[in-house]
Amino acid sequence: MFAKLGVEENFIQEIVYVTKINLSALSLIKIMKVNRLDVQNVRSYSFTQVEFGDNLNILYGRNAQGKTSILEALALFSYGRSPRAHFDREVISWGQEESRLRALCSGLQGTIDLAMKVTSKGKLVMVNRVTKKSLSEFLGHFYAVYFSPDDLQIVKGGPEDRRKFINLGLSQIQPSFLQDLQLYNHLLNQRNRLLKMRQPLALDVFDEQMSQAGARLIMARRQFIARLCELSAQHDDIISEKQDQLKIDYVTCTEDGKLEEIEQSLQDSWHQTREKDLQKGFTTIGPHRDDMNILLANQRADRFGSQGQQRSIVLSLKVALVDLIREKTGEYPVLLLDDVLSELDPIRQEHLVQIVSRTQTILTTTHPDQVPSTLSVPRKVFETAHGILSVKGA
Amino acid sequence: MAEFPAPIAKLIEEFGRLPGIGPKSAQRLAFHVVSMSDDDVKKLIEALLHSKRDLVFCESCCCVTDHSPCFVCGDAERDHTMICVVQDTRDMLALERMKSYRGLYHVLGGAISPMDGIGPDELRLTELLHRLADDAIKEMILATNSTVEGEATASYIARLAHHFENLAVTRIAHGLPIGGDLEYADEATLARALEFRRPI
Repeated sequence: MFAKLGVEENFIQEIVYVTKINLSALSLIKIMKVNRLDVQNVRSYSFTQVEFGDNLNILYGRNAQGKTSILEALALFSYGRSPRAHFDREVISWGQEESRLRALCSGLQGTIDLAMKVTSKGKLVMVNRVTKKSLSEFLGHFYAVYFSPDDLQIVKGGPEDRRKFINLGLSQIQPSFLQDLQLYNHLLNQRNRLLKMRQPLALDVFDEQMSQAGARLIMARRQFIARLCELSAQHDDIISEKQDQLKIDYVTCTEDGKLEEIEQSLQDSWHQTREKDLQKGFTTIGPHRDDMNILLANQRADRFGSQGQQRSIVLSLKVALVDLIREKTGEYPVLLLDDVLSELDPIRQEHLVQIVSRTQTILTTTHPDQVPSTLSVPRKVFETAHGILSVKGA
Repeated sequence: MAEFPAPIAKLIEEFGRLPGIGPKSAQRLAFHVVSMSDDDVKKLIEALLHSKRDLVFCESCCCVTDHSPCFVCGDAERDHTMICVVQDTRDMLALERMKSYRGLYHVLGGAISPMDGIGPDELRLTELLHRLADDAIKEMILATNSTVEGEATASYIARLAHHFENLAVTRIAHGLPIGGDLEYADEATLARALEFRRPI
């Protein structure tokens, strides 16, 4: 009798507990937040611990004092790689063997403890102190949008810059995309080597596997770009006062269609270009050469857009990405702004300010006065100097 | 740092060339050899030499064995209509430990991996095709690894085997390991397990 009662009591307590969590999840937490970041041997920091405020966090300091490194460290948790460095090992402090990073985040999934160890040989990632085998199991716990002056390359740079933007965005919200991307790249390397070895007989079997992964990449990218384009249209006043329409076209080697159709079409194209591929020694066509055409008033923005328009397009894409992440995951990503406010005119600053007021934002600037006064959300200010971060005020 | 004496430096270098042995393990092994008794060192040398001198490839299935034909190919009791294609002799021995497969094997000696310089020509495929043509083989089971390279090798062989009309070509199943928890399986495995589900 008593035992039975005990069980029931436990059961009721559990229900209360579960309901509480759900209620708070529904009503309160809709914003992804990073509460604490610990870094060891990352760039100029030998050891630093940062407790972030819930709303706006301002890191200021002179050049080369380690402002961006903090944003870079945070971006590592959402992108799985550094948005600045070519190789992850570049984040390791000079003369050190390894970097260690840990971020405590909270969001819809509750509090999450993310940790990473970067060595010259690779990365080790942990979620809630459990080591994960692959990066795709690590991503999707902490969402962030990183925005720096270098992002102008999305418009001005080459196709690889635009692919990077798409890939990093998609890997966050759809970890299986990263798996497919890694698989595709692995197969592509094998195929290219086979072309160089001039052994065309085995090509078919690689084409078959590659077309499956490739078709999934194309499907995901097509949907991503279409939705991004729609969302950016909602903020068309970012681009210009003249209502010039921003249009983003996905450029790939196959027509739109079902997954199987794309697979077949990829295989057909590789079959057709086989002679050429064998001569050149690499795969000349496929999703690894995807691109997007950014058109403003039906003209290519990289050629005909002014510097100001190009900046506005990047801002528009980033804002759309924030919306897209919120749409897919149900929570606002953390906004990481690397010295971008000073580059925007008041109208566009105002746009960014509106988004900043809805998310947790960490921004860097050379002087705290550059942060617009219209930004009235609670702020926490940090000063960086010689790899040391100190709280200046909240 | 002081240099290692020449003989031990040489030993460290040789150990370091073995797979899975890094510089630290190489040093540990080398110093262990130095501390071993002369008898034990002799046994080790003998074992190394014997492994090289006495082992051959089976003339039929190409596995590593001490006498050719190997214990499987030479066994008249086994089912000579069935052939299981594996990458490595170790894979063959793993299947043998199961003790329920009664057919023959064919060891490829690797999988197609152009990045490691292994193309179809580097595998024992000609031998396999000869066996498929000569013997009364009814079924070929492709049991290469479930990696990108293993899959590529399996479909490559399947394509080659199209010419043999009376040959059934099968691929081993993929999915959840026995005793494995669904929640810990990765997405690729789960997708495979769902794809190859069967009526019960």
